[in-house]
Amino acid sequence: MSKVGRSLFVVLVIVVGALLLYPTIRWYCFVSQSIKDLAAGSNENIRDWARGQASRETLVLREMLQTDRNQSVPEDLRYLTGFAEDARKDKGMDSPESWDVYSLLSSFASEDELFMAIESYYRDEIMDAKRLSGNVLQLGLDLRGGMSVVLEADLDSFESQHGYRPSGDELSSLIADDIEILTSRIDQFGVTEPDIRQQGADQILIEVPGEVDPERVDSFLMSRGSLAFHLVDSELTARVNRDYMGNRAAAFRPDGSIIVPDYIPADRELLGYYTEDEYGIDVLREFVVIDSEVALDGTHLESVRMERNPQNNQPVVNFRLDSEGGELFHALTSRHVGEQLSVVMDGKVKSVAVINSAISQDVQLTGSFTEEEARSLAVALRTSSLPIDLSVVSQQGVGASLGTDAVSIALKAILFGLLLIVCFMIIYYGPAGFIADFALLMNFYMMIAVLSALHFTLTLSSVAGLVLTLGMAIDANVIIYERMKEELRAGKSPYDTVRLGFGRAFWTIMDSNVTTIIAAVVLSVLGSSTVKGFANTLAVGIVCSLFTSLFVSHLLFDFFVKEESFKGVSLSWRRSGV
Amino acid sequence: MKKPFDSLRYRYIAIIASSVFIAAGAVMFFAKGFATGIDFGSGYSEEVRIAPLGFSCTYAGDKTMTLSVEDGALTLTMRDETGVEEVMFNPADYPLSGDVAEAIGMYGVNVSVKDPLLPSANLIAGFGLPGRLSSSPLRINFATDTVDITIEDVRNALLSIGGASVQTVGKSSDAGFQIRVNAEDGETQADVEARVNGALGDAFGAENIVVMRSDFVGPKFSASLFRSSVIGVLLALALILIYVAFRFRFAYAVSSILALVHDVLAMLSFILIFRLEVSSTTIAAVLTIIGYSLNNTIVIFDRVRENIRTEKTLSVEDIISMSVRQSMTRTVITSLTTLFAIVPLAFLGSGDIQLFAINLTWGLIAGAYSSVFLAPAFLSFFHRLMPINVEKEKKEEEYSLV
Repeated sequence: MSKVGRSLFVVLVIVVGALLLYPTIRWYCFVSQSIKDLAAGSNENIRDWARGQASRETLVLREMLQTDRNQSVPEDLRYLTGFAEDARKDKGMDSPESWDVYSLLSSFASEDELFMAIESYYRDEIMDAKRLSGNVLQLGLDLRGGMSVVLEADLDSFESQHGYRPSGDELSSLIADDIEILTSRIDQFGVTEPDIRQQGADQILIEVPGEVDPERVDSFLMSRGSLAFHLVDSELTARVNRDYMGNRAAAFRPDGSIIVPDYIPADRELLGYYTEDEYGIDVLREFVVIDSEVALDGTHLESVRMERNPQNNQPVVNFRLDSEGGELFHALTSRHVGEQLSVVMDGKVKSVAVINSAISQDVQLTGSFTEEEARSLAVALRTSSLPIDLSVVSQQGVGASLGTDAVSIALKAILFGLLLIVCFMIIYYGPAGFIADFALLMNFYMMIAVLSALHFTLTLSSVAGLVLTLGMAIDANVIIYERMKEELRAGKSPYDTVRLGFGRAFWTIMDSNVTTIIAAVVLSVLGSSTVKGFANTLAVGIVCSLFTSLFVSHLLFDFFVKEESFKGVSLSWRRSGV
Repeated sequence: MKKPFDSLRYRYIAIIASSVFIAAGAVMFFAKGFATGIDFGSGYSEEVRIAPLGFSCTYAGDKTMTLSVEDGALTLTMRDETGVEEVMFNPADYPLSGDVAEAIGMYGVNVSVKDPLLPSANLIAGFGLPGRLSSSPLRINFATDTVDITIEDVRNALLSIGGASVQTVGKSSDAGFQIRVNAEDGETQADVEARVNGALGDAFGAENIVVMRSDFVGPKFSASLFRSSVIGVLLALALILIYVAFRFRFAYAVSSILALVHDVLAMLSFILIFRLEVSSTTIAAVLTIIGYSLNNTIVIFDRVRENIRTEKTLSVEDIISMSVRQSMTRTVITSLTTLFAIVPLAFLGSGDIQLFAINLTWGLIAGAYSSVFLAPAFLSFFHRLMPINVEKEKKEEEYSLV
């Protein structure tokens, strides 16, 4: 490759590195704390918040319209002009030169449309931030803290399933099995380096780095929620939907909870029927009024599978009930043919189906759900694969396990160490030391970029491992320089020295680094999360160091040492340069 | 003239020195075992709030008086033959601790007020609540809205206990802390609790300590996780052996792996002899040394391989000595630069980080030592066992020279 081509390649690497670093830099430098806090909430919190914002701003706009319809749109609502333009374009209307409240509101067909526009604006802002937060270099438990969750074995549900209460050794082995399953589930989220241990006789303590996010707890507990079948009151359901669906602003309080109309009697409950939209956030499909009485409890479920209907290839959820549940279900369904039955989980309607005929043990849920929805429904229905169910006792933020000043001292020490290396290289190798230091900095840059692209969790030991890798990276340059010095002593020309120095050191560096990579890869595949995190840092660091020492510093030497001239780059401050 | 340095001459001294050191480590292992931290062993964990005492209550009357917390408000439940009466002291009506104390005093409870000016909304519902009033005082603490106690204060208070890990819980003004310590053999939960709370009480006043929750906790690393890590290390060693055997020759592979095993054993012995605590970072340190010290050895072996091809007249022993000598500057400098990175941490760091750095520093020294004194000695021994096939070597040279 020509020098130009090689330079371009290095520039390309730097640019790609910058792109990989971008989300991390954006998150830590350009996202405000209030957005970060909101993004740490559950999707449900975000929805409630966005709804509250929407209903507040809809009201503000309505009032403004009444006081003076021609006043200009205030600064904080200007974002709506974009939505208004789109709405007008759909209707083939031109947009006005300047927006006043009337022209803005008249762009929307109904107040409901306006409400949804505002809601989507706020939802997208927070959901974007939430997605971003999952894509950045995270700090680990020891550096920043995270969330601590205490789970407790649900002995009652175990008793109702198995007919006895476990105790002593059996309980602790059940808990140990649970811990193993949880560990593997959390490990699947990538290298988050959680801290999981048994607490007391029947509790599990989990600490995960990152913000307190209930969804993440749910995601590794998968399903812990209550599940039940309820009959649907179709008459009231139709009435509520008539009242509310056209005017969602009236259906919710600013805190996002549903306002229950007076005509719902005490033995009925008004719930939202939610399906997941493309953001993974629950979207209200409609309102459902159910019979408060549980028609069939979810504990009767034996097995659940997501399958496809062979006729139309639609995803369906098949489940099987135990014999007692089968009898109950048969009695229920034979009495209520033609009526609707809803699956309610954690206070939300997940599915509504019409009872076509009396069913006993084998039940098929069909509906207009996507494969993704069917699968998550199936996962939710499968009460739990944990040997003993767990319930969340407490969930709270915990601080860094190392004190803040301990962290800052350690970081200073690390910086000091790096500075020592940089100075040493310049003092010992003179001008060539600058090249090695440049390669070192570039290696550091690349490592951080790759680690942040892998959404890595940085703990103090991985920071120390990173520094150590930098210490090892400089070794490659030392090997090359020592080799060059030997060639120089053998009387070679500067150009030959560079060529032979890099050429002969190539396999030395390769062999010594490949062995380390082997160790790193094996540990990354087999190790537990702490080990894995460390191994990944090491592997990334070594690959980067191979590139910076063998490619980048070689290129730099080639810039300074030309074949035709006898000038070289000095390998020390003594007058005996390359 | 000074004789050139020949590491092979010190091989027996080196082997004896290493063996003695590792044997000492083994003795410590069987005598005392590892000083395992709470990551590996079980220990005691408690969550405390350190908050000023508002008042304490005693009761000597005939009724059954219970204090509990409902919806953030202190609630007094009085029971006697005639029935149950419940009074709630809402923060809205009784904004300060003194107001609540006064109100409770109206019901025949003896209240001794310590600090009447604490916001009653910050009531801490810890251990002891709900509690029945008796002649022994029931303490009611209230958090302040300011940061009075930092995690460092708590850490310093627990210095005497050693190996305690402290984390903040909740907001910093809550002064809530999660404390974990190792339980000594045979200690009951009450023993450790007394030990921890004694130390905290000495520092912050016994009446200001509210234990929210306490329990024994199991190790972070279960045996199976630890086993999979060990299997990982062994498998990595096996693969390295294959790679080195493929790139060099089997004698080199065995020698480098033996040197590596020495480094790991030397590190473990160091940890055992100096009773350093084994934590999750210890695993990371050992792994680092496996990766690093092999690097050093391979660079020297690479030089041996090269010299064997070019210096046909010298004996293998001489070539090995010469190669060690030639790469000496490099070995020293690379170890030095790496030590530069890690030694400041060993001096300035604290807790786990310091341990990690100390382990690494020793590991780096042991690694450099083994690649200069031990690995070449092993190599010369295995070279004699598996002599070079000159013909084959020549052929290899033809296609391996780039």
